Amino acid sequence: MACSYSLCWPVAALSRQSKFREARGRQTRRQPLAPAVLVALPLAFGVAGLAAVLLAGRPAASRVVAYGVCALVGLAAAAAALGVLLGDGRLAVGLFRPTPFVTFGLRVDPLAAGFALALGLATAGVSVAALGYARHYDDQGGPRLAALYALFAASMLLVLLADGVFSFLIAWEAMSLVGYLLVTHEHQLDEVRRAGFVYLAMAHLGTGFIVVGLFALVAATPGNPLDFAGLAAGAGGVAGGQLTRDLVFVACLVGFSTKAGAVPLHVWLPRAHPVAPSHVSALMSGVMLKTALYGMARVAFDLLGPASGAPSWWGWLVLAVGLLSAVLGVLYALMEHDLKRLLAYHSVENVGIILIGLGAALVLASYGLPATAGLALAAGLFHTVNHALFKSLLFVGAGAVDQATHTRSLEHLGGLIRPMPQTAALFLVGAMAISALPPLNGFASEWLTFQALLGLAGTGLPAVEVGGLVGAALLALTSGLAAACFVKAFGVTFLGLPRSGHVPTGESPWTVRAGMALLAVACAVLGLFPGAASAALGSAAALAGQRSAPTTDLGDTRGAEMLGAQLVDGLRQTHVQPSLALGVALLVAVGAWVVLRALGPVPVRRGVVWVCGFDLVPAMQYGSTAFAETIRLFFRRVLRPERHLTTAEWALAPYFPARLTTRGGTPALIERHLYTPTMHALLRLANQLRAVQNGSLRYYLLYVFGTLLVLLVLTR
Amino acid sequence: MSGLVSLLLAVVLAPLLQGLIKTTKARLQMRLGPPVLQPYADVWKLLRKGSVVPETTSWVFGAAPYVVLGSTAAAASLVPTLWRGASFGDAILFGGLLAVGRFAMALAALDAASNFTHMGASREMAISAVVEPALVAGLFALAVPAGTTDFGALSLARAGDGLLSLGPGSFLALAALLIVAIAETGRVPVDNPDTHLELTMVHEGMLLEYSGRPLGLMALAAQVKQIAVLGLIGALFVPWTLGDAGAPLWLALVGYAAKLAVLGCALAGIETLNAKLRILRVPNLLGTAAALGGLSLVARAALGG
Repeated sequence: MACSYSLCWPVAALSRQSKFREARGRQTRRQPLAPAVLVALPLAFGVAGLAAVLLAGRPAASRVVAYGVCALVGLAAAAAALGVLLGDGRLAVGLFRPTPFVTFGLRVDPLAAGFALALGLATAGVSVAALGYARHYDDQGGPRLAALYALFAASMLLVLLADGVFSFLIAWEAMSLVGYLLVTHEHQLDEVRRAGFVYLAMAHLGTGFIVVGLFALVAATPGNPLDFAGLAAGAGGVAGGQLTRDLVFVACLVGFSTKAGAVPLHVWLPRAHPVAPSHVSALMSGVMLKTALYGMARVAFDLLGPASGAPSWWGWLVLAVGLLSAVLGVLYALMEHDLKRLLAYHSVENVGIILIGLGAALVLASYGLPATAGLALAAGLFHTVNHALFKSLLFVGAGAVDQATHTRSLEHLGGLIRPMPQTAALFLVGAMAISALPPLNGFASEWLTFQALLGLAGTGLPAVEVGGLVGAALLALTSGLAAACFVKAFGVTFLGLPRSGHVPTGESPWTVRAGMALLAVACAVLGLFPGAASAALGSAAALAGQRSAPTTDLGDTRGAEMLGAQLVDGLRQTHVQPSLALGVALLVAVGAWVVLRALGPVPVRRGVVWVCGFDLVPAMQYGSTAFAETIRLFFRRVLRPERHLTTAEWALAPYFPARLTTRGGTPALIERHLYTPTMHALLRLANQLRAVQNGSLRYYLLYVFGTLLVLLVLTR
Repeated sequence: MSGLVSLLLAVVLAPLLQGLIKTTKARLQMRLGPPVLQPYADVWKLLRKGSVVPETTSWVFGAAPYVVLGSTAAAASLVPTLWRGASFGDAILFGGLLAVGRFAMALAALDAASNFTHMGASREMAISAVVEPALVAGLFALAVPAGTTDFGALSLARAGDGLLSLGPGSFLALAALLIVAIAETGRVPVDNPDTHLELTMVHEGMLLEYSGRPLGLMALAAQVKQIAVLGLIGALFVPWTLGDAGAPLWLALVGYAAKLAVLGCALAGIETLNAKLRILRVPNLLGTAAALGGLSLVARAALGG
């Protein structure tokens, strides 16, 4: 393989370069600003990080400058991404070329812009909140945290903009490593170090699969191009044909699913997110997981050639993984009573919902329905943006609760709506959005996902129709369970009476509320005008509708653009009007209020709650575990909850216990039955390898000699 | 316009339907029962009475009745009643609006800090989580052949199919949606609307701390939800009386009333013939409903119709 690189590189590189220049020249005339700004923004995040380091002597100044700049850069990124999406501007920049076949470059296209929009909006809101939230890290390595935070944002943006396998993998690894440093920020704690290790191990497992997948693709593509455009163009002539493409797809699916947190590769997620500082968890959950989905979409819809040429089982596989992640994610979230772990499991659920959109798009494209496939991909992208918004909002809210009460356990919270009314109201917006309630944005994108599943009926095949119905039913189950979970999360935290002495003294800092308000307003706007939002993503989603006809000119995207225009029109027509429903609901509510006022005032008296004549004590309330008990019993076959009697004192055995103590919970079954045995097997293997790795120099010299011999024999 | 007509019809007729169901049930059980118009008197009386609000509550408790009534009425406005008119009645939006009402009611129940309201909220959210897939499966079984989730387009497509829309596939979907209607309206065998035993109630349990005017709003909202769900089933399965399907206005009105009466009597009959299910067996019932939705598509593919 190595020799083939050196032979064809000059020709391939030349033609590639000229194509770059062509594409660049044509696009610069049309849309000069937005993509150019977007490409420059990773550097701007870097400047924020640098400022944090330079001001390290004054932590408060460092915090304000770094997070302030990050907020502005985030807004700029969102605006630039929107400009790219609306103007369909493309740009490719070759940065530098250290060795003949390694090129580092950046590229902006609508798909990357769609994800950059999510990144920009979420980063802006979270950074504003971090201005106040990160205050209590001022004397605990605050400047380091701020610098890493800015670097994290920069590396995530670089992942989205990277052009070429090398650039992508380096940005990817930088993101993973900076993420590790952020997760382990409070590394004095045992729990944090353990979570960090699991994160790092899983991240590298995933990266390993991605490296294998991408380099296998490069090796099999004629001319061994390393840039994305070259790979996409050569996808038709991959050596080994469909089998190679299948293997590359599966390897990338496994690798990216690990980072995205899809079941059963999600194990790092509920450990790493809770221990990281909350503004970091917000970015990790809101944005970092999405970069993995970006990678998946890039590989499946672009690098492996047009999705219309893909076998339909790719789509079904992604759809199945998505449904499994959605249902199991929300079920385990319901069983949680740590607020941040609960949110982390919800990320698993929402990644599942996005995967449902991507999977449906692949299935539809493979059955030759490009327009509906585009709609399905638009659903996935729209949910990506929405989840970035409401999950950041919720994590920031959870951070505010944690900071005010010094506990994340729902069993110790309650009644926070009185000391923190505004935080509570903003958290409620996020809770309603993630529960897919109209008129907020979560509903809009789930609606679009339902339409994508309905679109499967367009194939006219009964089996596919039934598949769509099963998918829709499971998606509905997911949103029903999510609503239950957020009734629990919001109700137990903010309503009722405090369950312990963890009572906050007042509101969260105003910047935290301002950041949350920014995200909440974005949730409401995207929910009320879903047609405009999804149409803006239409140009990115047109990727799913590419025909499998061989495209010779890489710069020629006119076919996709035309489909994009069609799709945008289609999305404007297939719309739902949550704003009208909101209008009717408001009309009725206000009307009822006015009519009742006209009926005359009635006396309202404050009284005690009726609890069978006893005095009300907070322990009488349902806690988190009690609230989820009915659902735990409904799904006992899946969750397999456990309860062990630990001690028993009998007044009269076995009928009258004097005192019973039980321990119970919902075990993490996937870890117990999949990861623990694998770990043990690996450790056993490692133990046996110790016979080889015995520390004696003579043996090592022998190995070197043996290896040389073998190599000499093999290569002759 | 048609939305406003649907809304007004639902709000005005909702207590009447409730009275009809109660009277039918009483007669089936050899009781005299209250007058048919009694629910109007009940709501009217409650709306003019003062209320006792628990000391533990926040603004959530006070706002919930208005949110519940508003979102339920908005859901009712999506249902085609007399004619289809402007098309914005979407199946998923309908489910979403009902979910908003349920969400607000459950939060209000948690706000009251009483173990009984909390128990009601816990059960209601658990049941609703398994109702959702059955609802979507039932609606998708109809939406897949029609290719749309818009109620107006859906019912007209079914009306246009003529007798084909009375095939076995349709009946399976009807059965699925009837089970969903029972669960959504909180009736036996899923919930018991008449009980006042704290340990068995679900919907009533959540409302335990409400009294007077807010309770009146909640009661009205529950009745509006009932008429909306039954009206929807009527419009989807007997679409020929809709104005756009060629029926004159008087027939549309009579058809609407007749469909509601038949479905209401069916609910009363089911309530009389069945005992309340143990709550742990509710998922089996709703799982059956979801499976019926899937079977409906299979039957349509195999047998047509």
